[in-house]
Amino acid sequence: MDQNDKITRRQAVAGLGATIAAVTVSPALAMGGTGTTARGPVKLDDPTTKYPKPPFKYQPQPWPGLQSQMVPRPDCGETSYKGSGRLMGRKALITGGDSGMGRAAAIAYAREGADVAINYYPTEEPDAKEVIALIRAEGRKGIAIPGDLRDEAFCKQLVQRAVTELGGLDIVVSNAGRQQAASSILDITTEEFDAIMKTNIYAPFWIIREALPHLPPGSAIIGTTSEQAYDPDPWLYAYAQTKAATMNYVKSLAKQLGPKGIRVNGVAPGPVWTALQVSGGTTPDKQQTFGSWTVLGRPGMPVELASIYVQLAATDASFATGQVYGSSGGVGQP
Amino acid sequence: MRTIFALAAAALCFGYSNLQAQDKSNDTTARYFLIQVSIANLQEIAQGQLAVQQAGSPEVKAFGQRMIDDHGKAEAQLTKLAQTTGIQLPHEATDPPVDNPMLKKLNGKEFDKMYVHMMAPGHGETVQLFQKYIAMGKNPAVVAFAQQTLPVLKEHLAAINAIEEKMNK
Repeated sequence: MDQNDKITRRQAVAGLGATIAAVTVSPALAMGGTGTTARGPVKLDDPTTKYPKPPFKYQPQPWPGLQSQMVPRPDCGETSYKGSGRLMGRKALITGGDSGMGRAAAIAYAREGADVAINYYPTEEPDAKEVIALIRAEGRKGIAIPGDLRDEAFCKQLVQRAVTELGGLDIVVSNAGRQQAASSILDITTEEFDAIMKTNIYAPFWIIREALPHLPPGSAIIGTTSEQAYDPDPWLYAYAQTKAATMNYVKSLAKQLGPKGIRVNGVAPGPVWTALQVSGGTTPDKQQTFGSWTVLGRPGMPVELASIYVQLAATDASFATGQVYGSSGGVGQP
Repeated sequence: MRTIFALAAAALCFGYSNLQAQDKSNDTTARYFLIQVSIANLQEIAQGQLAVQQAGSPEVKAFGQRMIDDHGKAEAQLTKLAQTTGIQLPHEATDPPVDNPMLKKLNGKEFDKMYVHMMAPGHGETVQLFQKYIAMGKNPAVVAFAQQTLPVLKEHLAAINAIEEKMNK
């Protein structure tokens, strides 16, 4: 009865017509059967025309920026991502889960059956509220834990609260990032450099260290790195080195935690249309022409990376560890 | 002409991505070149206006004024060129932008540093953009525009490099 209620709500949210086939097949999935959902053939779409191309209006926002105020709004899979039970019963903590790729991962995880705790900076509450509502619409636990990741004590509390309120933890997505562009190193203050290091390097360290005792074998840790780790832009001197650090810790931690059965992997996006880009993360010209240099002629939307975060968390991807999966519209590495 | 405007109006109602799909221009490289140049012109004008108001040194103020004058002229030529060649530019590329908040909050010497540090690589990239279109572009009117404008950009680049060298001493 309860399972059917969840299905009906999910169908309502996703705008699917309630089909008898879907309702009768889904319980088979929940029991571990090998049924396939009766959805019909997949519609092929042209990636070059699927999402908006530049130019975009110049739209600077104060840090950290709200995606709900961006034009066009980033697509995080709110109306499109359809799950199939790949993460049923899993418990995930996602930093930067209010917008961008963290949001896309949170929505996807919930649609795949996971309970999700999201962390975000307190002023991002308007975006975060939407994500929590979307998670709960799937009948999953949605936990909001706002706070400043630059603070070690908060990072510890974040993990403790997530473990307590989720009733455990087996997926950690260290995704929150601070990105600020500067044409010259001469214009970077120590304060700004410190903020970028604390957010992008210290916070992942504090969070993973605090979470580790709670992670059972089979757990997954995922870090958001970037193609900037491999071929950085000159105006991203501070940010890009932190993405290289992320790519590197994914590999060292994978080796360290391999014997414990915990997999550690990274996701390396190319230019993705998120609140980072309108809150100082790139130059004004490049914000307006964002993504034009990719082979698809446009930036990515966060939803286009959602399935990567699902893949790396899912138990059937059990041989992947120390990997970095890219999604960049054809530019850069990996 | 009327059909084109009617189509554009209808397309705008359906959102930007549909406008892309209905774009009838054959030479998308010329169109995209003009989009990038228009964005660059308008950003230079806006940032130049901040320089005139907020810069510390007279040289940076003068450079800012030059940006307003030269890029204003270039943008007027570009607008005319787009009309005569029938290339439609989306409003995101032709609307004057708001002020860059990073620059807006600075004054005097602090402004000069950040502004000059932005201008040098920015102009370098613009010169490359023009050189590439001159080498590969297929629309003769747009190539002519690029060839005509390039020397001015190179002068800008030389001027800002000189200012930067003096500043960093």
